[in-house]
Amino acid sequence: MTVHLYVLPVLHLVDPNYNVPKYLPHRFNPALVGLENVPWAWETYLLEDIALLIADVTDPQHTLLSGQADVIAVPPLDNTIANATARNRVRTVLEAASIPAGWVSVGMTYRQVVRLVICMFQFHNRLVARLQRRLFDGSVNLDMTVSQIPAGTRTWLQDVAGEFGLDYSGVAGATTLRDLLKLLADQMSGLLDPSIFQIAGAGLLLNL
Amino acid sequence: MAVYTDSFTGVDGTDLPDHDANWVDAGDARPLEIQSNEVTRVTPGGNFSGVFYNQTFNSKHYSKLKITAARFIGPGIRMATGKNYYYCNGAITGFGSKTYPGQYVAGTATDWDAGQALVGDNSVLELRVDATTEGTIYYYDDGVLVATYTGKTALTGGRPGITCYGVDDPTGDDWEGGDVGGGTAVQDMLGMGIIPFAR
Repeated sequence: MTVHLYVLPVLHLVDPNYNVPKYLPHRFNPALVGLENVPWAWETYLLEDIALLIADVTDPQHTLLSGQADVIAVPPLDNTIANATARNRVRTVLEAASIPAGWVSVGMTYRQVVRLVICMFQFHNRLVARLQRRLFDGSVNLDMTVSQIPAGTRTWLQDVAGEFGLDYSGVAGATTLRDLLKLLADQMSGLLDPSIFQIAGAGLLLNL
Repeated sequence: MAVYTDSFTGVDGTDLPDHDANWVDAGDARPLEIQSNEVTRVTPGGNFSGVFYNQTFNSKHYSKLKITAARFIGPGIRMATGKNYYYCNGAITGFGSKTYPGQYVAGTATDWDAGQALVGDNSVLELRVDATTEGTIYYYDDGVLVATYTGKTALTGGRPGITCYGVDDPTGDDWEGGDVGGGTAVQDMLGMGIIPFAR
């Protein structure tokens, strides 16, 4: 058994309202055959459709899970993104989930990428809790400028930045949401307790 | 530093907010009630319920509940109206007899993992915020640390309380909530049910 990191879809169950990982066992959603009883833990992009998940799997289970078309097995974290093809794949996966990714470049390690993504999750998830709804619900997208974002959401962006002690002075009306999230995530990576760079649970732990 | 307790001594069918006005529904409108001097859900079936104890608590607080039957019930922290809290609901029977810590935000639940180890009758489940790091949450079973969750920063502040997903007939007893480092709770000797304790 080995702990692997995956980027994987989130299913949104209704009645009960649960976010559950696709393919993995959950008490309200059966696992893909072959993945029963696999222990896992995760960090979600709250109420959105993607998560970073660790699972302790056998080699055949890893092959099964990573072979799903909508699952990405993250390479060893200290590997570097070797070429434009690999870079573009990372960008495509993240952007499809409304995670800004234009900053991902050849030569970066996967650890660098994942750590910044985790910071974006942290900011986004607090924002969602304040908004009390999904952020990317159709009213907002990454390419909107701050001045185009509905006023209520715009206010919470600044307020949540303040709650985390982030410097918002670099944000202007013409700043796009993608640039804003990256700007704040860069700050968070240095400000927050290093323990955010872990995914833990179900007896598993991965330091990012 | 406050510590509050409730042993749910009262008349069967009494909703918790009627038992003690400090208990406030977190927003699911499915309040918990007293039965046989324990706390349980009012509405049968798979419904979320959560109540928090509406007193002043530090952002770093804890909540404990002894689970006495079925599934799913447990302590909640960071609880606030609008269906927002961190939960730790245990199942004595079924669903692997596990405990499922997670977060309930805007009325949608997300377990933090695949579930924690077996719990039994009268296990005291506890969720506790780390004394220094807001986003670090501990789960204890009978005083033994079972799991540490980091980076749980979606919610902040809030109050301790009780959460439930009432698949069967979940019951709990002997709730305690307080500030981390707040000392030991004192049982009310006058029969009033709940008292604050400061040291």
